[in-house]
Amino acid sequence: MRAALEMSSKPPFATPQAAEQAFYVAFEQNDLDAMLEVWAPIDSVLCIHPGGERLHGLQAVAESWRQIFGAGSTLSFELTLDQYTHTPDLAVHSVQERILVAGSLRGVVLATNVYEWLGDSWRMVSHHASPAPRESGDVAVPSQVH
Amino acid sequence: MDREPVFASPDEVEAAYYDAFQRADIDAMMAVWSEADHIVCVHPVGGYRLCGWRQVLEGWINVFARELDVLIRLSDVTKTLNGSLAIHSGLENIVRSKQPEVRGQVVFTNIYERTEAGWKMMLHHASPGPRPDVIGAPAGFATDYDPNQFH
Repeated sequence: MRAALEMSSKPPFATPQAAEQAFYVAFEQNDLDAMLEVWAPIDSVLCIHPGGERLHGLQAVAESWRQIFGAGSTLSFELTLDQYTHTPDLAVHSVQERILVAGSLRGVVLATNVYEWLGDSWRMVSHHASPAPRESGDVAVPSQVH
Repeated sequence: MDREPVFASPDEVEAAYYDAFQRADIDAMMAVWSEADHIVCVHPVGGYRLCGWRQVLEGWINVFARELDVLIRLSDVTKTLNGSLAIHSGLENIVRSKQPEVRGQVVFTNIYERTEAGWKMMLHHASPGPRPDVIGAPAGFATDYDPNQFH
């Protein structure tokens, strides 16, 4: 009984890192339910796919994932160069996504992921992703930035 | 040199940021940024990520070396304030003041943090807005993905 109670009170994502890992696993596995489990069930969520429009609200965000997964995504991710800033209720992760298809590098994306503690779990509230130079998401030669 | 300004709110930082940007004022721009090592800046041109004070400074020196002469109007801004962090997101509508027919739209996420020296910018992520024919996820996003096609 006690074990059952502990199980039931365990937050789905006890840390921002757990939510982030679930986000990318859901993405790799084309798992819409798991993806939507990561997102905060609130209207203020934001999602910007690389080169895409700014999606505001859970309905628009969910529809975009439906489209992506419906097309049969075959992407896998390597995350590198993480920068984390955490407060008790909010976490900001800046990550570089190396995107692989069938094991070969297809592109590099920079993502700003924001997670919020909602009382029972950390959830994603914002995902802003944009294309980065393929050689590296971080600056290599500052004079070439612009 | 003037004493560094102290910003009492995320909105004050944001106003100072876009004012410094439009005036191409490097001192005013860097007064906006937190001096912490974890600051991050992603400009929409090039798409590199700049981390830490020195890279962010060099990035702005490069931007301002281009004689930008831009006017920036924000739209669709949403704001979240939670303790010592604030997240603002929206669209930057950019015109060249001498070529008003040249227009661009940039999607931004600005994150501010409360420091001992007041509110400061901690992260600026800006990326090109969608092409007119792109709705939701870009075509081919899932199956034939090449982010570099957007450059």
